[in-house]
Amino acid sequence: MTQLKSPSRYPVNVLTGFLGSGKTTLLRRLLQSDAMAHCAVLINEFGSVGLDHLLLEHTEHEQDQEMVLLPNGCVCCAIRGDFEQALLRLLERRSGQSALPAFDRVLIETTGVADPAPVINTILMSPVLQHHFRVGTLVTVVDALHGEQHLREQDVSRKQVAVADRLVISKADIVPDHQVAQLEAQLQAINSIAPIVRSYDDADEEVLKVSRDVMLDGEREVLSWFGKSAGGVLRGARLRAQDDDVRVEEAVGNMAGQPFSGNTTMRTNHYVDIAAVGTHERTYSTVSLTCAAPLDWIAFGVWLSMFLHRYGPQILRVKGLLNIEGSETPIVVHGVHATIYPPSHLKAWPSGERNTRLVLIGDLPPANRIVESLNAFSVSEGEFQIAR
Amino acid sequence: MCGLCGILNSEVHWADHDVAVGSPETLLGRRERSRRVQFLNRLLRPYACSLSEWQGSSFVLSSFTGKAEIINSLSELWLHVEKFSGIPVDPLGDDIVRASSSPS
Repeated sequence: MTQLKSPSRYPVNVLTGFLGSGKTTLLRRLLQSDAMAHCAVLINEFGSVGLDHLLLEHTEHEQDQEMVLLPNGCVCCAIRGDFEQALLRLLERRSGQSALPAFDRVLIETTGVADPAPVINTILMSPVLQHHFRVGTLVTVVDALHGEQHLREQDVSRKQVAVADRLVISKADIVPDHQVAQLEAQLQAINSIAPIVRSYDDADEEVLKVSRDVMLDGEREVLSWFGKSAGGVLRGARLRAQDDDVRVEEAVGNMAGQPFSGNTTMRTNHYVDIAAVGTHERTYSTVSLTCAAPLDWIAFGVWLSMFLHRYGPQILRVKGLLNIEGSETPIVVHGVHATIYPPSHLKAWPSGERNTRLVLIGDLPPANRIVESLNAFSVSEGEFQIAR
Repeated sequence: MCGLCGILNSEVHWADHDVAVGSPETLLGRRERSRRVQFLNRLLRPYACSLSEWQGSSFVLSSFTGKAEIINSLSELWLHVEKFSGIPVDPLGDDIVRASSSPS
């Protein structure tokens, strides 16, 4: 069993995915891992009688884990206050003399119809919660059988994919490989930097690394966003979980053709100019930008704050590895909607390449307009380019 | 809260961190804040507004017609620029792109 850490702010991991996608099955498997041994679990169910929490009994670390059910409404809208209260109650009970096992992280399983962004914003915006909790890795489960239909018809399903840090294709064992590959292509069209894991009823913490995030292991996490990408080159990186280490293998190729190798691989790809997904309401896609010359932090801050002021509701994720003038080490900025987390330093450039990479995911304005604006603002003496 | 002026401390905006310095806790110094004011004033021309430093902790946004407001962060700035000028702020708009690329 792992030693219990006492983080200054507890990470809150979000597990989301459309109705029937297999969130609870994955949660059950995640909770078997040592990394999740001291995890408080919040389960949100739409109905007034919750069932999912009953399926989670009898895990290996059951005695160290706390389950809280948030029934009777969706955590992203109807019971946001309940979610905040549930987190605060967990804190109170942890600091008091209650029998609550000491937790070192919280994992919330949302309802299938939840937009995860308001859940994240609740943590970031609450004057109390933001001092005790921070947002950890967000995992979205997509059903291999019905995922394409959900993406086509349900805006919330596309949103769940767009905000994800990890994407899990569940039920890959009961669907032909070519159908799973098609779904992968659709997922990458929306969110091209979240690693995708095919689950043959076996995805677990060892592969998904849900407990890893920018705050705990910035170098490896950022590597999983950007891999060995370089401006102007269409490429990706395959991350293989191996003895708790991550080895990067170059995997240059285009989206449609790359076969997926096995059930314990994670892969990121950087694509632009591919069909974005969405038919009815919003259309979500990824724009990846690079700049070889250092950035002026003042100009970049002004530009991004202005951009998020105008387009924040449409922007689901921002992830950037920045080469800032005056700083030897890379700076990481990332956020959800218009909220950007405080910037952090990495110890070294993850892939050795000292250039800025900025990724925007959401219902975006044209990429060339974004580049034109960045260049007009003189954010850098060099030019921003769209990564292809 | 400031004992002299009674202004409440607000959360530090992400762009107020001085990332060129090793420690993430360090905030922008006077020189960088003044450089930001200069940079912003070039952008604010099409909105008929200007910005000045205030007490080393905030900014004052003024409209050319005499309105003024204390601003604590960049997020607040854009809201008030829109309120003063009645023009939506858009970094991709033609006016702002022209203003930002013109010499200061």
